[in-house]
Amino acid sequence: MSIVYKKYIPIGITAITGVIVLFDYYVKIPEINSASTILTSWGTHLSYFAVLISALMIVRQSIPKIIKQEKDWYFYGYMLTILIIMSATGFISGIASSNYSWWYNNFYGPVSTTLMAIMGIYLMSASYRAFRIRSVPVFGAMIACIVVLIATAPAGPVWFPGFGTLSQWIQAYPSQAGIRAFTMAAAIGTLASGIRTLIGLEIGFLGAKEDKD
Amino acid sequence: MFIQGRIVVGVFTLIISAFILFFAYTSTRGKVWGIRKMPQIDSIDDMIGRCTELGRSVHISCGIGGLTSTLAPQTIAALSILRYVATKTAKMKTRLICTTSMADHVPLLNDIIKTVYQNENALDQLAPDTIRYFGSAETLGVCTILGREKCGASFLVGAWTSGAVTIMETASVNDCITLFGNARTGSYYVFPFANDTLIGEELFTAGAYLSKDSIQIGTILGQDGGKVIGIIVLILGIIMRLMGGDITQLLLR
Repeated sequence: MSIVYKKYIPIGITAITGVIVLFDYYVKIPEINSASTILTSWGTHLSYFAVLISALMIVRQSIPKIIKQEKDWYFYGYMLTILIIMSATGFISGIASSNYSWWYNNFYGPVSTTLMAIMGIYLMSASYRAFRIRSVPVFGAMIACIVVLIATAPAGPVWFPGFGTLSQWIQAYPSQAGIRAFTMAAAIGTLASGIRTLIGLEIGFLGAKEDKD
Repeated sequence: MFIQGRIVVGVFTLIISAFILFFAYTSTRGKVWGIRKMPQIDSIDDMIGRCTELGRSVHISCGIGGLTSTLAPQTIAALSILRYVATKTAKMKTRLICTTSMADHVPLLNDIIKTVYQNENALDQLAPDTIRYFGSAETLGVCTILGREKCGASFLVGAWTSGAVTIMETASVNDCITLFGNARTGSYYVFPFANDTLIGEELFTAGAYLSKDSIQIGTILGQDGGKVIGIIVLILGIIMRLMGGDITQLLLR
């Protein structure tokens, strides 16, 4: 019974809803269009419940660590405090209120901005690691990178006037060709993945493949 | 009845679907199709094996694609990889840490990991904090985990943004190998920073490839049929353009 409940019923629901939403994209039939809108809104509503489950999971994971005073328990305490304060502020004054914004801007904002700043430094050191010349294609990529880097540097176009045109050419043709090939292959892959899901072959999102009756 | 501008796209969808279903059908009739080896997917076992030998944890994240957005197929493909990785960690008694920034992933991740561990009779190995929800601060959270929990391998699969660069650089500093699988056009520049990559459609084929199921492998061939059609249309477009015509008008019918 469990295989019916955990495998075949979800596959059936996925196939029916998937076909309705797929048809909605191509045809103008009011029944199908409205059914698709309803199903899509159900998906959105279900994801709201998932937020609640996630918050409860954080609480369930944090409380034992705080009680047992495990390593770095005070960070978990801090996180729980902020979670409670922000949830309460959101419920009482609404997420558009100045109270909620104050907490968001003063607690989350600085950390987020710091991360973005660190990312710039990380991008540089990661680039150094990634573009070590190990083969001819990487050498080509390195040359293209240097040209684009010089062309976009403030003084670059003044010292090397030709690099601006070369950089534009690199971005408009070789780079764009690669991106389009990537996009086309990804689109076909998405379609194939969708069909596999609709016919019940791609069931990685279910947890019940090896379940026995 | 049909929406103007989507008819040709619909026809292409039907043709590619027919290819996929045909190859899947031939596989059910006993035909065994072969596909090329994908070393980056085969390396998943080695990455987990390395963690087991070194006594380090395995980290996986299924990206930022929601389940109700256009990025959902990438998430579903990533969940197939998660399922495989979880099976391996359960068998090899290696600690698994699964992080997410998406709340709607949490129930799915929970169900997949729990069922896999149950199937492998390894529920007792499953730590209560295996799944960690970080919301929009996932990049920060993962960077912390990679160092603090001594992860030996990090699988960043699904739809990703530039934040993956920070994670991969942190992984490199902490001697952690990364596999980056992504089909989101905006993040193509992140690939050079990873140790192994699943580029574009490789991410979608990973689930089918890992399953070793002949029917699923048949569908990969159908997918390649779609690519052949794409290339033919591309060449026709170039020829028509050179002759002064425009294929766009035809495709937008």
